[in-house]
Amino acid sequence: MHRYIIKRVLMLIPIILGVSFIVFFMMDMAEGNALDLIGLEYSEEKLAELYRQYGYDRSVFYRYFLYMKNLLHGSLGQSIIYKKDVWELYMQRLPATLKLASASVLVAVVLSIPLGIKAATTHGSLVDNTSMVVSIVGLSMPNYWLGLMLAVLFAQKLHWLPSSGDLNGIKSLILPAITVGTGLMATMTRTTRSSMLDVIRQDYLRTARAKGVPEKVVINKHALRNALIPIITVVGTEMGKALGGAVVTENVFAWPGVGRLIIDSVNQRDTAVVTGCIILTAVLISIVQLIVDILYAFVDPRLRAQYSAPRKKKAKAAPPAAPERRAAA
Amino acid sequence: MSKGKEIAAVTAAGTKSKRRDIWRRFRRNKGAMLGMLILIVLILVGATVDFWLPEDWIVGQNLTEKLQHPSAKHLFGTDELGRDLFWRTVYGTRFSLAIGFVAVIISALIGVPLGAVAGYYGGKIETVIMRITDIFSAIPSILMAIAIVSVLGRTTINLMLAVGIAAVPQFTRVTRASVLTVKNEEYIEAARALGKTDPYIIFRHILPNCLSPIIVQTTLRVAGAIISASSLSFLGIGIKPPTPEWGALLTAGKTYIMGYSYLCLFPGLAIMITVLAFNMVGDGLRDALDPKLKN
Repeated sequence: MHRYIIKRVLMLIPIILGVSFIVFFMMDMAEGNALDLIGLEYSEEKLAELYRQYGYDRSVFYRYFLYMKNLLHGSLGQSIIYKKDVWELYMQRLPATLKLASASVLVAVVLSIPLGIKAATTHGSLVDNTSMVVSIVGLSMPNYWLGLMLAVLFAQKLHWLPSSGDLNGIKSLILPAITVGTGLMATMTRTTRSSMLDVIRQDYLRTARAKGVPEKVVINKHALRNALIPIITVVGTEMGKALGGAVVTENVFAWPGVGRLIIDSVNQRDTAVVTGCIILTAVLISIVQLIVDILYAFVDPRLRAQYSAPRKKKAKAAPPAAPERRAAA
Repeated sequence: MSKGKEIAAVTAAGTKSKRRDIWRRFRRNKGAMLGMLILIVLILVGATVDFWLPEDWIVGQNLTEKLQHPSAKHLFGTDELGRDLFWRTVYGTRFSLAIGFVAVIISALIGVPLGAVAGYYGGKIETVIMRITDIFSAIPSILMAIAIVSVLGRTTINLMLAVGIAAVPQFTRVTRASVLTVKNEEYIEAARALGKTDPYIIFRHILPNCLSPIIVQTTLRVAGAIISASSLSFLGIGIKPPTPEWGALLTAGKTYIMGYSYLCLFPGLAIMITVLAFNMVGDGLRDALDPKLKN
């Protein structure tokens, strides 16, 4: 297990290098730079000095080299616009993003898993069909539009909830969380339903029923436990989506998260902030995925056995993977 | 020679009956049929709207009728310059559909060959392509699209490119997985024994036999592309407001959302219905092409 975790963490390194390379060069190719934007504040000599300091008087490769040098020293660089450390900026915004992402995943899980189970156990019924229609409609709604409409209804017309910011505690979290959660819910409901349907047809459920196990236990213990792997996988992916993709919703509700910081910084050409925040978002999403992989082991004892003796089992199970490993080494 | 023709005839008949089977399964799916009907109407409207909709109805301003709520005369109401929102929304169909289709064609044109090459050759080539794909998919696609637009500049073509490029990794993955399922079949071995070249084998034998997941992915991605493109417009990085693209209509309406929320309601509904139609057709296709997956 430890070896597996270490391997996964090491796999992050090429991802970080690749992401930093792509984002840095793309930002650099974009028209203008952050110094031009704040240039008016400074005298010409001061500006020339800043150009030198940030490497804008030399080629992009030099700036990338500077950036990577900093990165190797554990620094994500300085924001030109905010005149702050990128790490510090990111940490300021991270709590809001985490709060919104976990609240929306919570909303989605609480609604979709029971709905998916109900749909599967009453396959073909009205509940089943309705849940499928609701989830495909949820999937098809543009997030920002749903957010706007909810804000109009609950904030403007009914005055129940605030429509922007995060200053009203849990109350200001409700609308954004429902907005993001609706999009996530659709996929979760469908996965829960199809995964449960696969399990429900298995013989061991019939056996359990035949020996008199109450239906509730059959569904919640025998069926759900075995249907859980795909469900956990999709919850993990959706959490990743909520962490990286709630940009638009953050914009609708003026939510002070990382997404808005990234968009503002793209528009201000603040290369270090954009690169740093996207790297950290990618790392965060990978961590969520790693946690999901570890959860598999807790849910499914068969997988646990595979983790503890990775080499032998894996070689047996999937011989085509072997050359790849050799290539990596 | 005649034997070859015979075989060709038999195969053709097989393909035909297979197609009929798929169509039969698709037809039984009410949601998919409804989705297809909506799509046919939308595509007809989008393709012809330039010819029959008087320009004056779209851009003609009439300040005496500004910001009127929906009524019999103006089904969706009017905007701040007195332009009829219904006709502007109808006209917007051509933008959203065109962006959706072109963006997905771009992603497929890049992603499918990459995935096919990765799956077919395996080894180092596969490792390189898939690791690069991993890196690109580590960047959330909306952020990727935003970055691409800021590099290329804010035009409709660039918006299509941005949305398209951001979705390439998904096509690469799906194609590779799909190619892996057929690449060890005997008929591929046979083609190779006959001395066919690799590109010939990939395009004539492999891809036609693993198209189903790619077709499904394409349909579903059009839906995704329409949403992404309109999100970018909404964030102020896509198409600029006076153009009646749905995302831009919504953005323009946002200013007046206090009291005139219908300005945002209808363009959003238009996006939702279009995306819904693509999703329903995509689901229907998946079930029809691969009945094993159906639950």
